[in-house]
Amino acid sequence: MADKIKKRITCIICPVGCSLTATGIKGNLVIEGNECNRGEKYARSEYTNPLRTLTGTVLIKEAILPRLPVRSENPIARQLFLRAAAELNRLVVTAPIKRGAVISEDLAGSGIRLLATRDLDKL
Amino acid sequence: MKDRHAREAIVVIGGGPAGLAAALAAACKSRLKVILIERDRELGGILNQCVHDGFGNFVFGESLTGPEYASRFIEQLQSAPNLEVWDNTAVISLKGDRTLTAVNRSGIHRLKPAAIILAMGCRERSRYQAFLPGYRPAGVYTAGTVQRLVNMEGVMPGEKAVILGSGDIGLIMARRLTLEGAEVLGVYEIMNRPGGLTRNIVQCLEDFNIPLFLSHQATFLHGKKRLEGVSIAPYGSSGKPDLQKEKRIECDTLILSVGLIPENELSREAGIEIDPATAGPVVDQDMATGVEGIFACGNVVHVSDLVDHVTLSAQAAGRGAARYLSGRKPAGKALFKAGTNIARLVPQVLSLPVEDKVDLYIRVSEPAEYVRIAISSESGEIYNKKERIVRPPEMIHLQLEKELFQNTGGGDSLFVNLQGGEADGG
Repeated sequence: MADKIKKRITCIICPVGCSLTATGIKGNLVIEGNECNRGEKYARSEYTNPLRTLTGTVLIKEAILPRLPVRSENPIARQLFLRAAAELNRLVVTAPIKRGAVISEDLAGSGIRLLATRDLDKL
Repeated sequence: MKDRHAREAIVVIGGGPAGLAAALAAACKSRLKVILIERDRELGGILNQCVHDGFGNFVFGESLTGPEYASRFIEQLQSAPNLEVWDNTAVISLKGDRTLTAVNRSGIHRLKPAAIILAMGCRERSRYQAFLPGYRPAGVYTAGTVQRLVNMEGVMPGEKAVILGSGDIGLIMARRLTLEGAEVLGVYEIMNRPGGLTRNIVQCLEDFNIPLFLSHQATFLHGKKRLEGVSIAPYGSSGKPDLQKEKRIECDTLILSVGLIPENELSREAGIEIDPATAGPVVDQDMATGVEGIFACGNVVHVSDLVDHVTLSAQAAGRGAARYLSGRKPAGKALFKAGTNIARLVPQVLSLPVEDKVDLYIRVSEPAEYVRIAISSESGEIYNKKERIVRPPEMIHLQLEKELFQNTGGGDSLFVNLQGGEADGG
């Protein structure tokens, strides 16, 4: 059937690393290959909306380094990663910056804030 | 300098994750002055360039980025009254009587501290240590160099990259370079299993459809000025690269993630015994080396996959140094010995009597399932634990109660074995 979408997922919850398959059939999701319930839960979230914390850097002026490390405050949808990374490359900040400073209020339309992960003093 | 003789001080060499935790623990447990020596312009070591998250799940119960993890310690350190930081300072010599020579802009300094904690970390294996044949063009980097260039200096090393070796830093840089707009053509691993953690295989390669090729080796580096390509061949059944199947991949950048080596020049100079299995000092559970008053912790002792383990060993070293200075001397020593399917273990020495829990770190030689980790003395088994699966990239950390060792005597050997299970040929 055309509406069957099958995904292969490697479970990362524990070191066993089960190879899972998740097959969506009209709103139902069938998970196979998991040794425990945690694998089932993981496969469901990976199938429907995998979330990841985005980390990277933005350009900083007047600091000892040209790049300021940043992170998304919470995980964002993985599909937004390339768009969010491109957005990071357009951002420019000026030293001094403190760890935890909000660099963007809404990262790539995710509603999640982008935060500085270190202090960078003015040169 | 401020304290030329520093007889009443504990000196920590290296201000990365190990040195930070060791200096804090020593400053907290001892009233002596603690001097933390760092050769870079700021503390934090490798954490400053590890902008990704995943640090501190064990120690802090949350997933921090490298700079955030470092700042947890650096901020505490500023409020420790007996702690002094010497940055931009390199230790160039260490003798077995604890005489050390350090250099910085104000000159050459000779110190003889009451105790020393080694926290120099490790270095990456280079192209020449990996024996890659071919030309010597620009564009060949170690993964950590690329990490520093991209994440701190704001420099992209190239546009089309091949990654050799599947160590964690290489996997993490595959993702970073992809997000920064470079094309990562593939990761080629010489072994028949990945070198890095499963989490990184999934989130750094599979997420971005970057292929991983196991049992492959680089056979030639092309390009006389800038790298133009890499020839790669799979391993044949003969145990040598199958040159019939060699292919050339066009790329301008080759990134090596082929292992880390503890940085022990100072330890060797001081006459500290080095364990050939770990390439680091032989230590006891307080992280004391065989040379009196010199302790070691973190990646200089053995390369860890998680920074949390580095922190724990550093805290043990800090406490151990303070305890040594309070006059405690071991009454005897037993030895932990690596048995079946154990590649290496730390500590190698158990000082007696055992006064606290003992943290034992084990790395297996081959992956195996449904195993029992057993510790036995000559008179029988004293400990065992079942593990569903063990793999070389994931270090095993056991916390052993001191009561286990109540019958252990000086000169005893404690054999650590992996029993049962099917080595999955891995």
